[in-house]
Amino acid sequence: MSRCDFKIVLLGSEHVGKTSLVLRFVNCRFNHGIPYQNTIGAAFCAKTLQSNGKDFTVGIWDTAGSERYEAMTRMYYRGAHAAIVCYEPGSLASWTRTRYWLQELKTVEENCKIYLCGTKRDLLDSGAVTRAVDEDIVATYCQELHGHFLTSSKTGESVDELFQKIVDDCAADLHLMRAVEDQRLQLQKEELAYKSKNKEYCLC
Amino acid sequence: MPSLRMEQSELKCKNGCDYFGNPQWQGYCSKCHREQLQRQRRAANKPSPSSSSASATLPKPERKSEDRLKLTSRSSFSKFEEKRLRQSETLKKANLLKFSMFKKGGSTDDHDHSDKKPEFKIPSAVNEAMKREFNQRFPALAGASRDVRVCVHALALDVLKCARAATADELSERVQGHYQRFLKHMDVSPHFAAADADTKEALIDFVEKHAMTYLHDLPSVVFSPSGTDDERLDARMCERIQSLGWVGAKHLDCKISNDQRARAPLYRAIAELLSMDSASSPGGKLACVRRCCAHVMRLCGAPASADDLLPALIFTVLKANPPRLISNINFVTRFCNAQRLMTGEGGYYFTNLCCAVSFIENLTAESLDMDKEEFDCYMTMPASIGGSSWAAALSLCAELKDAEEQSELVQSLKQQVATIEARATELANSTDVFQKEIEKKVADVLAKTPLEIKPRRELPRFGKFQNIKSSPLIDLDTPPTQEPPERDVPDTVETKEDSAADQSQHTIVPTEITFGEPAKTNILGLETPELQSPHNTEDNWVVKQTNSMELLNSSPLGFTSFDTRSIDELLTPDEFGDNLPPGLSNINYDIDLSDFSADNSAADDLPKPEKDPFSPEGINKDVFDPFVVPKVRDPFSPILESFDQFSLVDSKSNRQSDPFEIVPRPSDPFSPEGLQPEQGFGDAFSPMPVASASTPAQRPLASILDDSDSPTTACLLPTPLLPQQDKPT
Repeated sequence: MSRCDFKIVLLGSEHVGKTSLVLRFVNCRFNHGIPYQNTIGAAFCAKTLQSNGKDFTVGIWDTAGSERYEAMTRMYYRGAHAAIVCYEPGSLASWTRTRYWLQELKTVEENCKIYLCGTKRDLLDSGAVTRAVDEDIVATYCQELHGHFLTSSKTGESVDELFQKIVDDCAADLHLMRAVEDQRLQLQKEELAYKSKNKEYCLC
Repeated sequence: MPSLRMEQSELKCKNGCDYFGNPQWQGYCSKCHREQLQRQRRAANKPSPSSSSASATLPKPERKSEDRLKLTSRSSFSKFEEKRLRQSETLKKANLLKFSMFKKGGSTDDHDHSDKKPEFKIPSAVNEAMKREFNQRFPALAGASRDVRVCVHALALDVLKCARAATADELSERVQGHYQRFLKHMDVSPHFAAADADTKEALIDFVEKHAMTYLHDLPSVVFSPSGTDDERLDARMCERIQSLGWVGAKHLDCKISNDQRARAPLYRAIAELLSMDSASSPGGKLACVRRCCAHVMRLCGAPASADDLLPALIFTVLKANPPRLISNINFVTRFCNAQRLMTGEGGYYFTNLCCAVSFIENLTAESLDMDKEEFDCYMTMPASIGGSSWAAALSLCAELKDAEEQSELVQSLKQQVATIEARATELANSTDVFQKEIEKKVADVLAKTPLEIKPRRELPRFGKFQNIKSSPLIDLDTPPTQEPPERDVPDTVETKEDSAADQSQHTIVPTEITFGEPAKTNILGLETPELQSPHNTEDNWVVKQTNSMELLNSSPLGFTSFDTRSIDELLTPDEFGDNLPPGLSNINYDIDLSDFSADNSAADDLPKPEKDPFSPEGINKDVFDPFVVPKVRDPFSPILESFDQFSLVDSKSNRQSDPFEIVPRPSDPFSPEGLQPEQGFGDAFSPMPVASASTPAQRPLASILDDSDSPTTACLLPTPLLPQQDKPT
C-alpha cells in the first residue's frame, strides 16, 4: 500500500502510548477480514477508512518519542495532513513536551490539523492514576486545535472516533480542494476547446 | 559553483577554430597546436613562412565573424565543420553532455547549440525499453504510451538543458514541476481516462523511474550535481561514521539481542542499505530503504514501534557505512515524486533514514547519554580501532554464518551420498538376482524344448496332389462350356473368333485381368480367399480363363443366357471356381453387385474357393459328383486318367482327332498353345470372324468386365470396373 491519501503523524513523549494507539486502531476495527500486511512493526501503518461514502487510505507515521530524537521529528511532520499530539493526563512531563510540539507544528506546518489526545483513559477512569494535567488548561489549548480526545487503547474507547474525525476533516478539506481543482480543470478544458476551435478558423 | 564556471573562450582553442583547446597544447586544439609547432620550427629555420601563418594564426575576433559567415556560405571552414561533426558523433554521451553544458552558457555560438540539440535525445535503446515496459505494465493504456514517453523525454531534456545553469534545488523544482504537470495532464487527457488513482501513481513512478534512471548515469547531472557539495559531505559522513565505529547497541538503547543468530536480519539490512547506492532511480533507492527497514524491524522483534526502529536503524547505518550516503539521500529528496516521499510507506522509512543520518551527524555525548569526557575519549581514539574491531567482528560473524551454511550443505550432501550409495548397492543386488533368474529361465526353457532341426517340408507333394486333382477338372469343364456357345449363341462364337483372330491382343488381356483382380477382390472384401499365389494360378489359369470368359461373354449381367446355360450343363460358378480362380472371381463380382441378394452373395462362394488349392482330391470329387452329369463324365474318364497337367499341351494334337475335344480348344483364346485348334475352328466358321472383326461394337465384349453397354453395369459397378476398362485400352 504505497499510496496514501492522508498522512497522520503521531507525536508524543516516550511511553505515552502512541504505538498502542496505532495498534489498537489498526488491528481492532475495520478488519474486513483482510489481515494487515505490515505485521512486523507498528511504525508505519496504513488503513482504509470511509468518509462520506468514499474510501480514504490513511498512513499513520509513528515517531520515536525519546527526547534525543526530538530535533529530528520535524522531518516526520513535513507535509502531514494531520498530527495527533499525545499526552498522558497522569504525567505532567508529557504535557509540557506537548506544548513544544504544538508550537512547532503551528510554525512549521500551518496546514496541518492538530488533534490533542489524552491517552490511558482507562487508568484515569479506574482511579489508578490521578489527573496531573489541569482540564482547564487543556481546554484553552484545544480552542485553537481541531479536537481533543481522551482515548484508551486498552478498551478502544474513542480511538476510532478520533481517527474518524481526522479522516472526515481531511476529506472535507480535500473535497474543497477538489472542487477548486475541478473548476480550474473545467476552465482549462474550455480554454483548450476554445483554442482548438480557433485553430479551425485559422485553417480557413 | 562560481569557482567551477569558466568562460567558453577559455575552453576553446586559442585560434578560435571552434575546437576545444587543451592546456597541454598551450590552449590550442590538437591540429592548431601541431601547426603552431611546425610554424615555430620553421620560424626557427626560416624567417616568416607567410602561407601557413595566414591560416593558422588568425586573430580571434575575425575567426568568430567568419564562423558566423560559414552558416550561409561554404567556406574553407566546411572542412572543419565536417570534422567536428564527425567528432561529435564519436564523442561519448557523457563527454558530450559536459561539453554542451559548458558551451550552452557561452553567449557566442547559438548555432552550435542547435547543432547539438538532437544529440540530447534519449537513446533509442532506452526509449525502446521504456515502450516495452509500458506495454507490459499498462496494457490497458496503450494510447497513453506516447504521452508518457514524451513526458520522460521532456523531463530529461529540460534537466539536461538546465543542469548547468540551475542549482540543484532549482533543478529539483523543475523536476517536481514536471511531475505535477504530468499529473495534471493525466487528469485532462482522454488517454488516461481509464486510469484510476493507483494507476496514475504507478504512471508517475514510471516516468520518474525512466527519466531518472537515464539521468542518473550521466555524471554530475542529477546525482551529486555539480555545484553542490554532496560529494564532500559524503566523504565527511563516511569519516564520521568510521569515527563512530565504537558506538554499540547499548549506547543507542536499541533492543538488539547479542545472539549472533538473531542478528541475521542485521546483515540483510546492511546489504540492502549498501545496495541503495547501486539502484539508479529514486524509486529503486526508496525500495532498498524500505527493505532495509523491514529487516531492521525484524531485528527489533515484532511489533516494533518507531521507538525501536529508529535506534536500530541508526545502529545499522553506523555499521554499514554505506557509500555516498548523503548523495543518495539528496538525490531521492530532490528528484523523487514529492507526493510519495511525503505520504507513502517508502517515504516513512526514508524519513527514518534521514533522521538516522541527521542523528549521526549531530551526535553528541548527551544524545548517547554518556559522559562528555568519555565520549571525547572514544572520539579521539583512532577510527581504525573501534571501527575495524566491529567490522572484524561483523565479517567474522558473516564468515561464521557462511561456514554454518556450508557445513549444513555438506551434511545434506553427505546424506545424499549415503542414500545414493545404498540405492546403488540395492540396484547391483537386484541386477544380480535378475541375471540369475534370467539364466535359470533360459536353462529351463532349453531343457524343456531342445532345439530340433526337422527336415524341410516338401511342397512338391502338394503340387502333385493338385495336378492330379486339377487336370481332370479342366478336361471335364471345357467340353460343356464350349459346346453351347457354338450352337446356341452365335454372338459368343463371334467373340471367340474375334479373340482367335487377334491372338496377341487376347494374350495380353488375361494377364492384365489377373493383375487387376487382386485389387478388385480387395475392394469388395469378399473374394480374398480367391486370391491365390501366382504359382497356383499359373498352372491352370490360361485354360480356365478362357472358359470363364466365354461364359461370361454370353451372359452379360443378369441375362438369362448365363444362368440357363450353367444350369443346363450343371456347372455352377462354384464349380468353375475350383479350377478357375480368376474367372470365378469375375463371376462373383457380377452376381454380387447386380443383385445384392443373399442367394448369390459371396458368402456361399467363400468357403469353396478356399478348399481348392489345398483340398485333397477326394473332397473335390465328392463335391463334384452330384453336379456333374455322369453320362458326360464317363466318356472322359479314360482321358482323365491319361492326362497330366503338363501333358495338356502335348495332347492337343491328339485332341483334334478326338471326337470330344473339338470344341474346348478354341475356347481359350489366351492360351499360347491355342493356335492349332483355333485355326481348325476358324475354318469351320470362316465367314463369322470376318463379320465380327468388321463390327467394332463387339470388341468391348472380349472381356466381361468391359461390357459397358449393359445398363446394370453402368449403374451398379462403376468403380471396380473402371480400372479394368482402362487397362486394355
